[in-house]
Amino acid sequence: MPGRKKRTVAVRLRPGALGACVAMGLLALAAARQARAGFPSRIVDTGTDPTAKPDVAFGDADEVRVAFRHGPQGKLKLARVLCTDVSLSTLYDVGTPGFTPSLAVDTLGFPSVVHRSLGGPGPGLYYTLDGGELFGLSTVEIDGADAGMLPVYALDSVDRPYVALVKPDRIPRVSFFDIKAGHWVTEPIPAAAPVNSGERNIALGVNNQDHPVVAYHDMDDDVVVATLTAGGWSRRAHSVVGSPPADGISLAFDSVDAPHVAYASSNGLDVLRFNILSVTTQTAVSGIPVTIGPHAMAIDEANRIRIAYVNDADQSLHLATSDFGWVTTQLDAGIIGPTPSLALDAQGRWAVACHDDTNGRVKLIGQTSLLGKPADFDCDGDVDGDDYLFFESCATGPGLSQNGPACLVADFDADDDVDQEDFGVFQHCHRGAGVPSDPNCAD
Amino acid sequence: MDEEAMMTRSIRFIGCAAAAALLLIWTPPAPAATVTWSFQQVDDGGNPEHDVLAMSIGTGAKWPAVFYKAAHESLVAASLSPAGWLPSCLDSSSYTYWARSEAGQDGRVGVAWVSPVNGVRNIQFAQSTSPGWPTSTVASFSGAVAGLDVAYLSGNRPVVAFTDDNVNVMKVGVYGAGAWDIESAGPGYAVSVAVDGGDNIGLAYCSAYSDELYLAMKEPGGGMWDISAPIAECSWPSPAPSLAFNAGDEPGIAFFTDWRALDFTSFDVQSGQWQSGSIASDVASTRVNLVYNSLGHAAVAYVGTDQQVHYRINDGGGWADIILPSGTDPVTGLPITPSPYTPAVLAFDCNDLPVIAYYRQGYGVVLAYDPVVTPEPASLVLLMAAGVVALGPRRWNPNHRTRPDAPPVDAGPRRLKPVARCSRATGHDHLV
Repeated sequence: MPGRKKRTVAVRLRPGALGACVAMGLLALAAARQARAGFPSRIVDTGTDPTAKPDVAFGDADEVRVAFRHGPQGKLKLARVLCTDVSLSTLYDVGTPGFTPSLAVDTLGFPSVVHRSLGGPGPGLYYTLDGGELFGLSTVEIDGADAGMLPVYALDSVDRPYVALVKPDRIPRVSFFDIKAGHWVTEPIPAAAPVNSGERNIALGVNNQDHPVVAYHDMDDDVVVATLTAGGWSRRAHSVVGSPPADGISLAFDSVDAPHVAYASSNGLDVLRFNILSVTTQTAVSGIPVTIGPHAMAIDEANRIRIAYVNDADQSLHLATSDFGWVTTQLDAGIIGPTPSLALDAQGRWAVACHDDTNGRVKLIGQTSLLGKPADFDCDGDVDGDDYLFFESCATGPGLSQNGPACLVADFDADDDVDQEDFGVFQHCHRGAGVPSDPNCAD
Repeated sequence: MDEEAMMTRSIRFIGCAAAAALLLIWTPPAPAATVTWSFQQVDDGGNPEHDVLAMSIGTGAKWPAVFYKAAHESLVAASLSPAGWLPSCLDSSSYTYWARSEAGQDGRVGVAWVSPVNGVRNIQFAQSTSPGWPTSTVASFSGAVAGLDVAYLSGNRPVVAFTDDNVNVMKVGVYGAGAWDIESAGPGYAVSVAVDGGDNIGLAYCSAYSDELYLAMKEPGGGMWDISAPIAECSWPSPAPSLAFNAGDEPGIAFFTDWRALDFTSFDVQSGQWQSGSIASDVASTRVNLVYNSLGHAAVAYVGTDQQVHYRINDGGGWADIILPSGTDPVTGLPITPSPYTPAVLAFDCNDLPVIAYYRQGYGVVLAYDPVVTPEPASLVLLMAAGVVALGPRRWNPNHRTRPDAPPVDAGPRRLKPVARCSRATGHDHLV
């Protein structure tokens, strides 16, 4: 009986003869994780493949949403991640759906995803709304778009959706929902040159004045920022000959609405700020090849820039922060897929969604104020008996897979079981009821 | 002010003056605009039941929700979204009547209607909040209901006003603490309710004693109803009046003086008198709803005796009569002629664009949206030239906070606030 076995394992691991071994194990584990920052993570789903390309956005309060493709299951899935819980739902499972999902959450708290589908009702670009019990689940094809290349999606302050995409002719386009006509419209952006090759060379955002802005890298090796206002499109270009974008572009706005474009090159990660008359360049990461996704960058109210990127050399995940100079922090040792997605909430808390290519998992990494401290499973600030009961309910023993999504958080060493090593980490974190837990106890 | 700043202001003033002069000198000889209405089908099976049509603009004051009788006679709420029109059945009873809706401050939309069941009239209310159109019964009684309307107080608290025709007493229900607090508001019928910016509840109604039109106001938090002097004669039988407050909290009432004649009255604070005038004498609709745009212009929409949809707005120069196209819409191919003697309901979106819903002939509900007026190319060039002249000096303002070469950390603490509703100046529903 599995429950009895779990209890036996737990009792056997009480401090005693194995204490020294556990301590050694903990030390080894700590050494292995030394390079990681002490940020908590959640396994959002398992059994995924590199086509997952998760995208993250904040929902209501402390809720984080992650949309991703579950390739082996042939589904577009949406996760709702809270400190205490991860719940999954299927948004779309017709044909071969869900490629390159781009996620946004509207003012009512309803998530919606723009995604590609290659089969089912026909290859194309689709908009799927999870309207909860109010509107239900709805999917429509976006008129005039096709499966094309990476769609990037954003909402303005009154929930009007905009999607930037590149069709095979490499002319950048924007799809939007025409409320007065009641349908989607796709129109080209006036462009001097086609978009450069590379799937991740277009990004879209809505600035503080509610104007959709598209950034892309064109064939002339310009980074172009195109802004739609009531007077039409305006266009600014900045030549990046010599250090052209190679693997991704991302867009965000500071407090005075200046567009910032982050782009990954073979030499690192640069950020362009389009000022009133000129463009300034900052180098966030230099000397290593990196990749980013279209939602990799965000700027908080204090104008701090945060960019999630993958170091191409070892495919580790990092966070670059501009706070009196650039500071980089390793979030995960990898191997991580090339399009990590970053979101900020109104309080400036960040969350990064990525795909762990090694273990086939969608992961979410965030601050302890969002995802809690290690082993504090009930997110009440301490690691006590209640957390022990949860750990006990998840314990499987060595080599026995623990596939319950809720229990993934107890698999500290990410080896698919909840065993002695994991219990060692738990013991290290255990301080008792009412005692604030240590955010770095699992390191 | 230092000399440099004064110089900048002077340059900008000269620029603006030059732009204005340029516009005055070369004014186009004819209205340089083309106005076409955009039509879309809400439901192809809508059933033009007597008076069952309502509409409000929800989220961001941009996304409309329409309430109507579907072909199967259920009362349906259809909300426009990027996924299209999303219908929800609110009441499957065949006999529902009178639907009135309003939008709350947070983008929710509420609707009240009458649902008769086994001789009992249930006043129902639903709103678009999670977990999805929760419905509650405001009141139940046997006998007739003579008037129904809905409004929202601050904090998204709905107010439903109705008349229990058994006793000819108006009642006002305010939702709070999980229940409806119902109070009597005196004898009257054909009641319309609205809430001003100070949370005062207003009722326009016909007196059960004298068949005269009155306005009653009540301050938030209780107290007695202040009742106006008689405003006009009520015509009976005819559709109910419609009350609205403009942005200055001045009340206006659209009311029928006979079966086809619609008047408008508003209270003039200077003279202390109601100023009345005729809107139209060709109204065939069974209801009208009065709305104000953000500029304080009153407007109504109705189906006329000529079986056309009329949009009438008073911009201070009288009631303009804008007749919507009929026949077949050349863009969508939709038949758009209204069904005769049916209601048309009007709302303004956050860009002050009028939105009209109505039943079309042969059943079905249609939404007409007035698009942004598109200047003709010549005018556009002129406006752009003027804009360049006017805005040019800004580039030379040395006092501008953001230097062209300033790094992000020097951008300063100033932050543009995200717009809560769509910006009038930058509204864009068509790309170029």
